[in-house]
Amino acid sequence: MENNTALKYLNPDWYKTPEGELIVQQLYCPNNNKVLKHFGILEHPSIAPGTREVVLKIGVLGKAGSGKTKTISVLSGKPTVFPGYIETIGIHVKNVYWPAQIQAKTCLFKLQFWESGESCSKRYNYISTACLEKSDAVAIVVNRADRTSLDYADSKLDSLIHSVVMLFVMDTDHDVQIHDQELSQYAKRKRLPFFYLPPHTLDLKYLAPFYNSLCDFVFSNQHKVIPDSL
Amino acid sequence: MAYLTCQSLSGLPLFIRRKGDIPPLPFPLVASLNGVYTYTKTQGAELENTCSENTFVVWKEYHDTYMLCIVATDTSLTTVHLKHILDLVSHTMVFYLGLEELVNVKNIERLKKDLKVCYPLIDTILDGLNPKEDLEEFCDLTDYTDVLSCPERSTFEGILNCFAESVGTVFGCLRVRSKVAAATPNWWTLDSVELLQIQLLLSNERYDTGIDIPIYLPVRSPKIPFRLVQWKLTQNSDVCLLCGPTPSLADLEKEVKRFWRSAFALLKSAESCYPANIPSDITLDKNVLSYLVMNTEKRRSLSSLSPHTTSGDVHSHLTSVRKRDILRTFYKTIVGTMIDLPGSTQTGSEDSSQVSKEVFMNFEYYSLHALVSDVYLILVLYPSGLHNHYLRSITRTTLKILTHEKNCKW
Repeated sequence: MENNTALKYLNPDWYKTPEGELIVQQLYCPNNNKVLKHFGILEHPSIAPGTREVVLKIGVLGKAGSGKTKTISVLSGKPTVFPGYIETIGIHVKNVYWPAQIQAKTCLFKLQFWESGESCSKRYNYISTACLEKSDAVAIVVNRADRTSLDYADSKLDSLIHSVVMLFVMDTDHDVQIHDQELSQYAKRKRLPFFYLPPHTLDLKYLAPFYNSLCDFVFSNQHKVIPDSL
Repeated sequence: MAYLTCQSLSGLPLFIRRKGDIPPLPFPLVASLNGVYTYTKTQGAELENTCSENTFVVWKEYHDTYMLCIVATDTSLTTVHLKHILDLVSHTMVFYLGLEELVNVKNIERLKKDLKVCYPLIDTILDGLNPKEDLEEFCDLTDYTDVLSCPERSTFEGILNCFAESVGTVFGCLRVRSKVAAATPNWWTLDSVELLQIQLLLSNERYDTGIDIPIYLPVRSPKIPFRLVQWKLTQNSDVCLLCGPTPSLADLEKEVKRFWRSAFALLKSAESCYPANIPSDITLDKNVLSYLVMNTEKRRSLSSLSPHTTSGDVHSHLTSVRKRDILRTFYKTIVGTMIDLPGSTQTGSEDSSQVSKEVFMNFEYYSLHALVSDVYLILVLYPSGLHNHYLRSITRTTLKILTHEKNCKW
């Protein structure tokens, strides 16, 4: 259950340093350190002057019902979603901040997840265009409890013109239909990185490695470095 | 606790929702609820409602196409309010799917599947029967827009009008703490039900930074969709627009930043009006534990569960949630039965001459007073032990401050 990417630029433990901790603390609500803050677009965590902000737009795709909304909710610190499956209507954007150190310089990553429902996107053409246009990466959600979500990824890969594509893998406790080995072989064949969703995002121990890997991967691609492990 | 069923007039069930920890409605019972309604119709009559000792049942037909039925066990509810809930649910269906898809049904299974997108909003409406802790607004009950009065209002209106014009729309509003702090003149021309649907939808999407959702306006545009766009400006304020096909959500983000960046300090200052929801230099009588004022002409309401932000009130043994529930129950008990909204043509009571302009209710731990004056209805929660004539005097002064004070515009 390891992601298949190695960090190229990011210092994986920087968030534990006093400087890192200072920013990470601001990501949580002041009166409840288990709830992530939802920043508006006019604000961001306060950072030292001169800190570079790296904005990354990530378009999220996946088969209808594969768990795109759940994935993004988990990643943005709101793990509970509407019980039962409800098709998402329209476009939903969630911003998440993550601080990191790259080549000894502090960077504040602003990850913008753009998500939309599959059926609604078919009904209104503008939706998928808006989600993928000028995005820095595309994430396809693969649910290990649903084989067809991988088939969807496969078919989507052919039509996607985007060069930076990755898989977000949702784990499941029961009835695993896509096994570890199969997934890694698939990813290797397609030269795709995959990231397992952290099981508990409220715990930094799980959240930090996920965001470190994700930011590192997208950042590396923007700097034209292909990770060795692929 | 409540069940809500929706059936096509040909008798096919479209969906069933339930509120509370109750077992699913058995199919024969669903069929009977439909059967008794249909039978009455064949006899040339219309069955509107019925009740048993603790249960109310209300039926209503919409667009000659489908019928909604609610079964509720809550003694504080009247048929007026249950009918209102059914209307809201029907508007929600049009809001998401458009009238065309509901009326010209080509494939009933497809419609059933499409209707699922309405579930979260329908559940929010049913939640209004027994609201969650974090709900502070009264819009689902009153149909009016919840507003916040802040000294920065006219500046915000100026920015909002310029911003809306530059992105090519006339419908825009700025919300602070989920309450409207400023809006374009055209925003207020939208029908109450449309404003309410938008408010309820936004309350369900509060964790998103930005949204772009195709919706239909149930009254103004039931057949042609608009885009409902919202960008969160700060943690507690957001700007919301109704747009046509352009500009894109990403372009709107740039424009939002361009117009609103300079207003950041003002937004923070306006946010500090919460939870009193009025400018901080306005102080109300300490006995006012919470209030709801409705302007029936403008269809807006101003309310606060904690009107004394800094000094605290005299009886803090009531929590905000408790105060909200008391006010909501008071509203449901009196409006449409004991008291009518000013200018209201529909009266729930049998003889309108018996409808009063004022209601007092005194309980062991608190008192309630409702007063109709001019275009306003005000509901105030007081501690117990005060004389009614004293309550009346405070209510009148409070209403005057909240509606005539120069700094308290809304």
